[in-house]
Amino acid sequence: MLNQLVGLFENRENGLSLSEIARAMQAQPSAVLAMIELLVQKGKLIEVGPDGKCCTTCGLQSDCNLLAARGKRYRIAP
Amino acid sequence: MNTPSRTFFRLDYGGKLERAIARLMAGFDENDFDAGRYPRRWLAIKLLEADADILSRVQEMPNGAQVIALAGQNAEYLKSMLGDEVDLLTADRRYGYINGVVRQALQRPLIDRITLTDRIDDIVTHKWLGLPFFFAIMYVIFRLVIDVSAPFLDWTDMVINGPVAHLFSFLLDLAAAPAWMHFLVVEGIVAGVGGVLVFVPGLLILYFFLALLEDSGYMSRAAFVMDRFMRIVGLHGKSFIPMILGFGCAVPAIYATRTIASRRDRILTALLVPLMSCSARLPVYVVFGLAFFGARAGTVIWAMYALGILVAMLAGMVFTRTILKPDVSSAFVLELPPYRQPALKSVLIHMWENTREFVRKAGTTILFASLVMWLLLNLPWGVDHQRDSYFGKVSGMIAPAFAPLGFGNWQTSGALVTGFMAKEIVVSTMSQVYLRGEEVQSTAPLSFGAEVLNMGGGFVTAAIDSGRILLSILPGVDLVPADQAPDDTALSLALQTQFTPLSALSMLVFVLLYVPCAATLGAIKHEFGTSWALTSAVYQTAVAWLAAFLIFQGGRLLGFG
Repeated sequence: MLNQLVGLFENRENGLSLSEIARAMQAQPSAVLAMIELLVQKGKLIEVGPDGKCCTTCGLQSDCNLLAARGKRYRIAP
Repeated sequence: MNTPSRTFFRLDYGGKLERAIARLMAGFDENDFDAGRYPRRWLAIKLLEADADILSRVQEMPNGAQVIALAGQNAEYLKSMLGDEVDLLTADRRYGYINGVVRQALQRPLIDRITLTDRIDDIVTHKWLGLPFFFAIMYVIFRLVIDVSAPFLDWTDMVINGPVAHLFSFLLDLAAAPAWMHFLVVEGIVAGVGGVLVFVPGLLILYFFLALLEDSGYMSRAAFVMDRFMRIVGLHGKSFIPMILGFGCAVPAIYATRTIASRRDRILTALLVPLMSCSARLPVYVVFGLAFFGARAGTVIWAMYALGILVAMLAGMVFTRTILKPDVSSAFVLELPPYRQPALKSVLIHMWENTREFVRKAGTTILFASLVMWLLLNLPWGVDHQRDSYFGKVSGMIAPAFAPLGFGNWQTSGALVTGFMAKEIVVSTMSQVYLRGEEVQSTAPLSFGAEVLNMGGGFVTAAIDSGRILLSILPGVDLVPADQAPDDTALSLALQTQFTPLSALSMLVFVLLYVPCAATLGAIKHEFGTSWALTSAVYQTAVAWLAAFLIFQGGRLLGFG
């Protein structure tokens, strides 16, 4: 399952969102989230901003309307 | 007699992992390691996973160090063979097993896959229907803002120019304040700040509907739909997200361009964001709309918003082909969240926070501007006519530039110049200039009790009228008498003597497009430097002048003047 999840990120420069991953895995987002968190914790995936770039490193992240509205995305760790 | 058998569940982790687990369990015996209260297989798996808590506990146990070393060797071997750490390998097997169980145990009807969200999206994000749907929604909202808020707008106007002005007069009389203080407070502060606060009901309703759109999930769809449209005219699709924010205020919208990766795209977006009608312009639209366009005020205001978007598209095309040629295009990725029922509390908080900012600005920037304006309108001291004041003289010098646009008088020119500080100040300045000595003194003060009764009664009437208008939106329901039109505000009445419908339209277009306010230019300067802030100020003013010129002169040629 984890390998299948990591495989989804191939050729996805802008990463994938939780719901996109869940849709591809045909599972509920809540079921996929634990897997994603494990992969992030293990350094396999990184969290990125809504546009697929690293805007999550921005200091204004907690106030960012876009991030709040559009949610995090994930990308394969470089 | 049969004894009930207990079957323990054991997940199979696959050949290599299972062999490593078995080796480690054998190692427990070889090293005389007693697992104690821990199940041996479970402990072996945790040691292979290098679970920090278990490692520290086993370290304390007799012969624990040897067992940990053995587990480490096995884990390294597995990693070299399978390419991943053991905890990821075991998690993968567990999730795989869970997935298998769920697939066998749970059958999802195929119809569930096509959710209500998908069905709605088929319409609202449709290739051809999406854009008309977006504009139709915006049209309905602006009609609601104008029509439903109109009774409250009249009520607020009555309260500010009646009881509030009378209260200040009364207090100043009590304090035996000099005559100039009366003028300053009643004609300067109450007329200036009050002229802006009159529009709070309209803003509350506007923000209520914008919050509904946002919370329901439609705003993301609007961005998606506009993305397609913007690409047709050669713009970057990501630009529309900050532009949507620009409908509230351009300053946070400029900072929101930070999410765009390319500097060129950020600059282009920042140059276009101020063309979106921010809420500060709404008071100008409302006062002119009600004064000159009556029942069609909502349509005119909607047209202003649509025109802002259209001009932004055209300006984007020009910039894209001249000073901001596109670099490598990147994909626009936008997650469309499922639709959900907006939470009333969240909508009300959103509505209040935005309106509070408007009211706060009225109490600071506009109050200060009103005081300065009052001084400039009354200096040199004792001046008989405002036209001879410092403000009147300077405005009179600028006025000829606006003559071809249909509003070449010193009052309007001065109001437009002060609008550079904040767009709402256009209305507050006009209130000071046009309402001087008219509104407040024309109404005889009532007793305190009568004023309170008037206010309460007026509010109830406004609420009933608004409710009728709202219900009349429903097909087949008409609760509004045909001859009932919203009363003009004091300022609207004054403006009717100075403008024609054509020159009013020209004025609205100029206010929509001309130089962004100081705070917006400050944000552009902060993000991109002085030259781009100047570019924004110059190009917008030039576009505004040209557009207003074309409307006014074109309208006259067509016989509308």
